[in-house]
Amino acid sequence: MRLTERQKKTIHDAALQTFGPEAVVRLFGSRLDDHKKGGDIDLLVESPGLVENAGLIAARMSAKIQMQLGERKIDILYTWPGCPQSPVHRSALREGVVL
Amino acid sequence: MSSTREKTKVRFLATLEIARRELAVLEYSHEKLFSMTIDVDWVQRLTDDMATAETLEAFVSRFGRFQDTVGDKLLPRALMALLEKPGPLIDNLSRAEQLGWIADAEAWATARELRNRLIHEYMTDPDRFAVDIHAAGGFIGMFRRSYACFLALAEERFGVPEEQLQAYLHSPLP
Repeated sequence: MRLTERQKKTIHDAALQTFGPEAVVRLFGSRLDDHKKGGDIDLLVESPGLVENAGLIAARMSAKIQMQLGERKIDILYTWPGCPQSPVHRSALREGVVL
Repeated sequence: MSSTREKTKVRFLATLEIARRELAVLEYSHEKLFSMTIDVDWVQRLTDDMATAETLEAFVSRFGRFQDTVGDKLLPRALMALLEKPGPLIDNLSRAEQLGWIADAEAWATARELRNRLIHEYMTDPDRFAVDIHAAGGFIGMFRRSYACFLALAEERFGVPEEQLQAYLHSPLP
């Protein structure tokens, strides 16, 4: 995984501050590959229940991370039980690593 | 005033005039768009209703353009006009918050992220798009207040009121 401990903690804390203390955040995509360089930070946040205004909350989470780590490209997907999922969501759930 | 100082002043005021115009057209699109009931059905009808789709696209595009102008141009130029050295966007937003030009740097960064989501979701995800477009509409007040702060800077620091800004847009740099 190509994230420093500080980056992992910042992302984890931002997820819990925005999506709530029971949220689980996974890293997926190219940052899991130690042989690649740079690239977007792809995240999936799982919540135990429906999240109102989830797009705004995901945008706020990304903003919180960037205020700490500087501007970078962060893609945040979200899901909860019963939320429609795309193939990308399913693959992120399958392959993503919990932070 | 030295020529460099005059140049940074003119660039700031010219960019403020651009922001003024962009905010005016954004407010127009905002009012027009949110006079409609925006829900999932509305989003799904857009493929058959080109006129409404254009209204929506105008709003999304203007929502992004105003943020780009303020974040990438006006803010660094305002700092330079105060003889400060601008840095990366996030640092500039934090500095702007300290100076009272924007109320909340993180909220600005959030609006920017939301804009990126809107562009992506428009064609692919009507459910999420319908919710997020409302959230975007909620940022207009923040944009308006921030423009007012930059305008106050122009007035107080350089003695230039809003109605004189346009004179700087095409003024040759010293």
